[in-house]
Amino acid sequence: MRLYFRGLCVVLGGTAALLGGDARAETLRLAGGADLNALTLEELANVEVTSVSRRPEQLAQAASSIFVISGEDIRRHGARSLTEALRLAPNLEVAQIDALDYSITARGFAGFESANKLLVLIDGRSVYSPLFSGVDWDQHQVLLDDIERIEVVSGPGGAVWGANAVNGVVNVRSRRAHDTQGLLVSAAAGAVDSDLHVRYGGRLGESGAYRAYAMAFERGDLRTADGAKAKDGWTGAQGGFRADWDKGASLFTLQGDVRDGDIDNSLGAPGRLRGGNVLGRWTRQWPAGGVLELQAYYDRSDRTARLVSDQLETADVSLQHTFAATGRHNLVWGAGVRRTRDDFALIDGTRLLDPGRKTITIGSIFVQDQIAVRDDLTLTLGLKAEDNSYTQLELMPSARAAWRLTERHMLWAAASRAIRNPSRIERDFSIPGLVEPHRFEVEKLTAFEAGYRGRPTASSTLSVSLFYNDYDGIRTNNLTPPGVLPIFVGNSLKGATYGAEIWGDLDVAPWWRLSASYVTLEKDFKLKPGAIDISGFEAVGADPDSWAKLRSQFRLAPNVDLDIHLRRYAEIPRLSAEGYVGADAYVEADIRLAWRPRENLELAVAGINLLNDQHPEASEARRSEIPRSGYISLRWTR
Amino acid sequence: MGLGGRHLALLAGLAGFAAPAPLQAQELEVAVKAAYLPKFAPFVDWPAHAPQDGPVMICIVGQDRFGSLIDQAVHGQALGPRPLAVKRMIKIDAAAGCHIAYLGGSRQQSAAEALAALRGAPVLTVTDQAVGDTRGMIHFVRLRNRVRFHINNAAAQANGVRLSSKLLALALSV
Repeated sequence: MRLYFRGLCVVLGGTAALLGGDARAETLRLAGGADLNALTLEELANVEVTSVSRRPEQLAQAASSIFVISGEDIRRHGARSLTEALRLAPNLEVAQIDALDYSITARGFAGFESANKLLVLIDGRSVYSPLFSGVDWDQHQVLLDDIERIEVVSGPGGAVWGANAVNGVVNVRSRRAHDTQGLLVSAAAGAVDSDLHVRYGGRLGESGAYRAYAMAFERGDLRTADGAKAKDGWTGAQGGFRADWDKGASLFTLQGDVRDGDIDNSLGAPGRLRGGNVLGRWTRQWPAGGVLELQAYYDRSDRTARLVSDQLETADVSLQHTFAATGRHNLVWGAGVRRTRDDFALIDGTRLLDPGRKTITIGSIFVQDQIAVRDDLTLTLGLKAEDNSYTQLELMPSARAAWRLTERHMLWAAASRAIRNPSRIERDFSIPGLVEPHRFEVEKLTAFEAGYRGRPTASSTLSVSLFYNDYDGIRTNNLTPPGVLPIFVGNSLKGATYGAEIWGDLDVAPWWRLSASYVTLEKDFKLKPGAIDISGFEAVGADPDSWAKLRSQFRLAPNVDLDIHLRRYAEIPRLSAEGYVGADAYVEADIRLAWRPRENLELAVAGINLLNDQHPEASEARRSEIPRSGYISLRWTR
Repeated sequence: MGLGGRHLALLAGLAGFAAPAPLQAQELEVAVKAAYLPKFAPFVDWPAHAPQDGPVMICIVGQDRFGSLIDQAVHGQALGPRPLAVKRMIKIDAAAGCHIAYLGGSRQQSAAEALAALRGAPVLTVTDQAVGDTRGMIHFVRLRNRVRFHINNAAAQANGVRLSSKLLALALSV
């Protein structure tokens, strides 16, 4: 301990002294060792506690493949959008398709239309689209400076998550208003993307706090294969607020956003992305233990893009009740109802869905018991029942076991079942005489997982997850036997995916952390006997069989950070489906250097995708290629 | 910002690294929190019904992240004539005889449950963002790589615990 402190204090104090540093750091250096305890309260408040992210203890115990992107990781990485921040998660496969669209998946099924098995929550609000079960990532901008953390689970989300948590869950949590007080100005000027974010936070009486923000951004043109501008750039603006009241036993949160985006050219026609949401959450803790959480939100989006006009309204109410622990049992139950109303047509007015407008209700109820079988062995049994307007009641059971070998090592295993509800397009796409609607049913997954998580040494962490996913009823476009019209959207694929997700980090020195990850993915799908498919297995997606990420975070001086990110994606094979051309393997690097001349001011310069003039990431033939770029940025608070 | 300075800083860092078995970096964060706990005592006025005899007790409730760090931090510290002392416990209630309680949470009693068990008790409750979102009278957070804290003065007053204005001034929010 003593030697470690001395090393760190030499870095802190020595650097400060050499740079003409201040007396505080000098004191630290002279104090050295455990004499940290000789500091005053004010001095303690100024001790820099290294560059590393915190690791919430409770997540380290989770019996699933979970990776947490801390707010600090995002700020050091320098991502300017949620999608770019998600590149930090080893267990996500992130491919940018064009300036508007991304394919983001866990455990395969990459592609704009096939990436439909992920549940994405932003402060408790589900943002996957019931139109196609994917995520319109362009609609979901967040002020990254105010993000507390992003939890990324690969694998079925377990009983507690909402619909669509089949292959993974992305849970974005913003900081409480109490923790985002004062003025923040964050701006970046870049070769492709530029933006300006402003936020102000203040107090609301004795127990409340609020923040309000505004942002404007430009997503610049990417490139065509021959290096010309793809003319796919767009601009947007967004504003919002969050208010929290902390009354001790009760917490109340109210938040909302409004947004507007303009696309000059979306597949040949202009597009517009408008929308907004408001959410309220009340959490009550009882003296005897136990927590009740009640949440409601309303979300509206008006979207014209890709030659499609789509209006969607969502209203959602949910309740979650955690009982006080009794004996060896920790019981949680919850229920929720979500109602969506949509209106979908091509921009020329053609209606392709039958009916063109529809209201869908999804109701679900879950119960989960975490049982301490022994002090070192925890069993979590969950069951969720879900009912929606399309299909009958579906049951999703899961069993998870966590075995703590020692304080530092944990083994876990899980078996679970998850289903994906039909999307509007899958269920209701209709062209009389040509495409017959209403045939598609749920896709089913039975997943088996096992893993290790722990700290092999005092300065390192390691997580290894193995998975075998058995799917049934994956989407196909079928001809009616013996091979005639009409076509219908069916569930005729079955098969499996399997692979490993490995990541870890190593604190090489107090000022240097290395993080590395490697993921493999194998897929094996077959058409069910008797089915005639013309989709060419499009719904299975086009995935690389491995990807690796390497991150190096250096604190060169107390006020200078250097972050280097490398990633390699293996080749994406060409699908037999029309419109998917595959992609070559690629390696890319991002480097960011940040300097804080004062505590409340950070200046940074970043190079993005430095290794290639331009590279494609997605398999879609309509894709753009991503050019080398960079930005300079400023972050100022007071 | 001279290159030479950075270079030397790197060398100095390497010297630290060469020490046997360097502890993980977040140990420092934990150590700073341990150092904070006894330093709160001089800025707190406990009501008359708080334990008046014996040492001022700092209780580590539930999961103990501090290990020997808290013992080192408290060693030799006193509040006037009364020495400070450390006690560890799995669960806490109003009768546990604590003056300052760091609620680390555990399976037997989460931080929220511990807080509820101490409602009305003359105990300075300390919670930690690294443990969870439950907030006691003092709530540690990490802000710009520094350990800072929020104060819930209303909760302190409700329990008869008076915090000095100097402590309130140091809080990120009151």
